[in-house]
Amino acid sequence: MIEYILPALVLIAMVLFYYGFYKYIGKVIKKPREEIDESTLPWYKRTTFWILLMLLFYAVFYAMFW
Amino acid sequence: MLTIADWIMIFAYLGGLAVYGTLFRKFVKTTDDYFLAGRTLPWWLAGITLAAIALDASDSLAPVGLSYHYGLAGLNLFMGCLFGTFFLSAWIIPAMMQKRIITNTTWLELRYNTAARQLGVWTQVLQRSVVMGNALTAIAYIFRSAFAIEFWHGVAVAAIISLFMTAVGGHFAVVASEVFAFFLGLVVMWIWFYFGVQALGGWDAFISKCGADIHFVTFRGEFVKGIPNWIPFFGFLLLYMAYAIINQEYVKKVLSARTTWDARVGGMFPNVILWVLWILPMSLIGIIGRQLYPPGTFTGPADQVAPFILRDFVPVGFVGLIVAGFIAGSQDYGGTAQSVASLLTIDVYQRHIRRGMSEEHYVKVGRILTFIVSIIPAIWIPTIISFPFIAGWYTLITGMLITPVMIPYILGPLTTYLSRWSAFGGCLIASAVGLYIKLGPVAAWMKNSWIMIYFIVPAVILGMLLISVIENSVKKPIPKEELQGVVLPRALGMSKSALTTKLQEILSARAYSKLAVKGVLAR
Repeated sequence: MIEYILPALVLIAMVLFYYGFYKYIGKVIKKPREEIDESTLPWYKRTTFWILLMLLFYAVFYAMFW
Repeated sequence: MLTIADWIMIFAYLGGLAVYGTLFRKFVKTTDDYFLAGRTLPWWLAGITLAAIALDASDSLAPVGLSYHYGLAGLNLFMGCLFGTFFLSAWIIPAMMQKRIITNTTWLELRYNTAARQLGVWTQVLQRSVVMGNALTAIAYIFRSAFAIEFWHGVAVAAIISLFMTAVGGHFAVVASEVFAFFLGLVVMWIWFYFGVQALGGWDAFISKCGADIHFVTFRGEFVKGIPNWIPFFGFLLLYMAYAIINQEYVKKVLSARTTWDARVGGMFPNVILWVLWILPMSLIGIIGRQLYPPGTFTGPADQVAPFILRDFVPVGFVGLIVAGFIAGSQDYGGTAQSVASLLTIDVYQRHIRRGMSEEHYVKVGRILTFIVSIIPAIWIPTIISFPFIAGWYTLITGMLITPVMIPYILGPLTTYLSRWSAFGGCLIASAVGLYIKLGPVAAWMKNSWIMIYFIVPAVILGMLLISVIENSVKKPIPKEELQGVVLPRALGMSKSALTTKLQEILSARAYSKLAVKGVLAR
């Protein structure tokens, strides 16, 4: 039974997602685009934080599976 | 045999994609819309579509072949790409976003010269055509195992539908379908892995038989005979970094972000997690495949063990789901064709053949070229299947000819010293070094692509410096005004360092509080 239910669920999810995304793009395209001044952002939103976090992730991941 | 559910899944998925692509036609009015989704994407969406580049059927299957031979090397291929993304987010993208360019090679011309731009274009066309050849090969293997049919028939249908969708909808449609396909694929890869583990006899059997190989460096085996594994391991990282930096298909997804901040965070965060989740099961399937189908039990690239598991151990019903998830990879084939078309349209056609035409004209040319470039990669297939893993030919080509091009991208934004001809000259010198190592009378271990890279990268850097010294002394260095908006403001000496800014902030805050204490502000 699962072999019928699972593909059907995936297809329903696909149709719903596609409809939602189509509507979302229609909205997002109208939004004004303005550059963000990073110095006004809190530390966790700055790109330096994300770059350092990624490097930390690398170090931990490689150490785990060296 | 496939059940009706399998077939419904496959046809509904492919048909849905084609219809869906046509809906996005109304959003496409300019080249920005067609190639960069109108630069509208928030960071999370830019990040997810960046991760979805691994949807490429070849990218999904390549980790299997690499890990069959070299432990977690399949995953490391993508970790290397992510390492390249570090450079993108740190300073390449901020430099590129200043002039709102569409292709990364446009930036090469602004920073260096037309020769560098054309080098960037044609090395990418070469690289992407090999990747598309890999994708066709991967799909062919899947179709052969799942349907027992001639692979060309299945590939043709999948490629035509995905190309139709990409060509009509542009990057909006690619983004839309990739996001869903990515998550479908993510589920599919783990289901595939689950059945692989069951085939071995369960989790305990998997750990006892495969545990020793689930490592990047200390797996059972050698990358290169007689060389410690850590040396090729770092060469591996260096080699695959280029994928993220020179690749327009990758860079355009970051350039599609709505702001520089969205581009940088989108590049940095989501794809790191998503790629590990996506590629890890495929790498593990390669390691499982070595136990189920040891070397010598089949001919051709080791990547085939994943389709073998699909054929021999996955129950009917799930096969359709896995194949549909995998066909998602074929739609990225359209995305790849589109990115090559964007290079040829903007960097060659618009730049050198027909200037000053309307936006509609270039969008139309882009669509026609998307179809044309999708046919070329088939010529690589005989070469690709002669390697022990399907990424073999890509690795060789990348090492010698493509990786050198990443260095001008990395160094260019940081300094105004590097001269106009330094990029082209430096890459030419490095490629000559690469060809000499590959074909010349040197030790066999040096010819390995993961070792050769240690000679190539310094060759580019030294070549660029040497040419800059000569060119800057013969002519004058490039005037700073010409590089405004091309290199980082810091390289032009225009902005204060982050530390200086921070210190000033602290000092002004202290001054403010002192004034407050004295009651100055109260008055």
